[in-house]
Amino acid sequence: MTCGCCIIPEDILLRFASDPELSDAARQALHHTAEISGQIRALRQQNAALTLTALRLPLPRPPIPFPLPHVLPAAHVFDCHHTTALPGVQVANPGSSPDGPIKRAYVESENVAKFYWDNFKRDSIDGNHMTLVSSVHYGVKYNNAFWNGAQMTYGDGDGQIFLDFTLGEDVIAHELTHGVTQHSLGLAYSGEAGGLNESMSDVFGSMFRQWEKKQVVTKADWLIGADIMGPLSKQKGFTCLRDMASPKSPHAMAPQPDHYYPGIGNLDPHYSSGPPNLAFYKAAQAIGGHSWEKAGKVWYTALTTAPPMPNMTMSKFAARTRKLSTSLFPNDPTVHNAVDAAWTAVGL
Amino acid sequence: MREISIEGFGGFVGAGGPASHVHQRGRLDWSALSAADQAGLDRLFAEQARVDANLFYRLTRVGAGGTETVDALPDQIPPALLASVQTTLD
Repeated sequence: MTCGCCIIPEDILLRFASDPELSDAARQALHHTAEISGQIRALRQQNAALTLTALRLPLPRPPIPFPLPHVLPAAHVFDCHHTTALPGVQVANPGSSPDGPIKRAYVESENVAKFYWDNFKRDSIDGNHMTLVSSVHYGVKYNNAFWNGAQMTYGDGDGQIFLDFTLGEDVIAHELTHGVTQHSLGLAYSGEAGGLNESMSDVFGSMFRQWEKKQVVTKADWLIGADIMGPLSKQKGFTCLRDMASPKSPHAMAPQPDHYYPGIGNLDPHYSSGPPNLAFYKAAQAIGGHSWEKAGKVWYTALTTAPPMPNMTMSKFAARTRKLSTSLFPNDPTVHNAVDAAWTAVGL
Repeated sequence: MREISIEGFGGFVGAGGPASHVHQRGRLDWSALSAADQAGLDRLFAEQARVDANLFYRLTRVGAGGTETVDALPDQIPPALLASVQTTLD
């Protein structure tokens, strides 16, 4: 038999592997498949740790030549068919699929890659043309989307509290940015670094949404998850998951603090990301224009031009952006003044 | 074991935060799980491996010996238990 380790849950493989009605050869093959399945899972879990270790090695890294015109990295989309086995079955020609989530996962992943290339000259998640892998139709009415260290995964939502997660451009950019963070500062998912990690994903998620709409900062809504709010959520007055401009707002389903305080790193990263989210909003508003042109460049450079610092504190990240706002824009002091004032306003 | 409960944290939604109105929780009778699922969960609780991930689930089981908790990744969790998770708003 062929290996179906990516499609069939391990418990089912093991159940069949003990079925006396199957031939010895078939049971043996099922045992092997289950073993491979477990190894693949372990391999994926080690992926993030491996990335971090590799980035820390003192190996010379020649500059990556920028191919012009740039060819976007490949984007592969897999269909989980409502199971929770990743990655699922690969979809041929996802860009022309009649299935909305499949097509959106493909098109928007490519658009996020274009956003990172056009604005920051970053070639894919890892800066080295990495293939973008997305799985859709994960689980049954699954109410979440996530990055697992190697790929993006999107649920369909239950249609009441959340809609299909691929409907949010910011959702897709948020998840892909977790990959960018993994391949740059390598921020952890706990402590103050966890809050920064989540904030990076919200910042670049919102920035991407604005870039797609060609919005200036004053026209943007700065809401995270606005496009996936279901009818029940809206009925209860929730217009988004988080509001970068007003983290405490009651219309956010998950309100956040708007000011830093010692100990904030002990809390959930989606909560502690409030102050750095607000700092980016304030800096971008004070600078004006398009968020990705100046504020975005400062944040991107702060995220990607240092060795991995998994436990970076918020104050250290703020200090990096303050310094970079001057070195990147030496003839435009309004950028430094805006960045400095923004962090000061949130207590950093 | 009598029952096992599950709560989701993180992902894009970030459920379960201190001020969050959205929660993702479920529970199953231990006896509702297959022998293979029970064995897999026994291993998870025994290993108590640290999880540093964008999305994880906190599993709590109650037995005669008291309450045990462990954090796990989605693909470490039996589909039947994962499917018990319901999203609620308060």
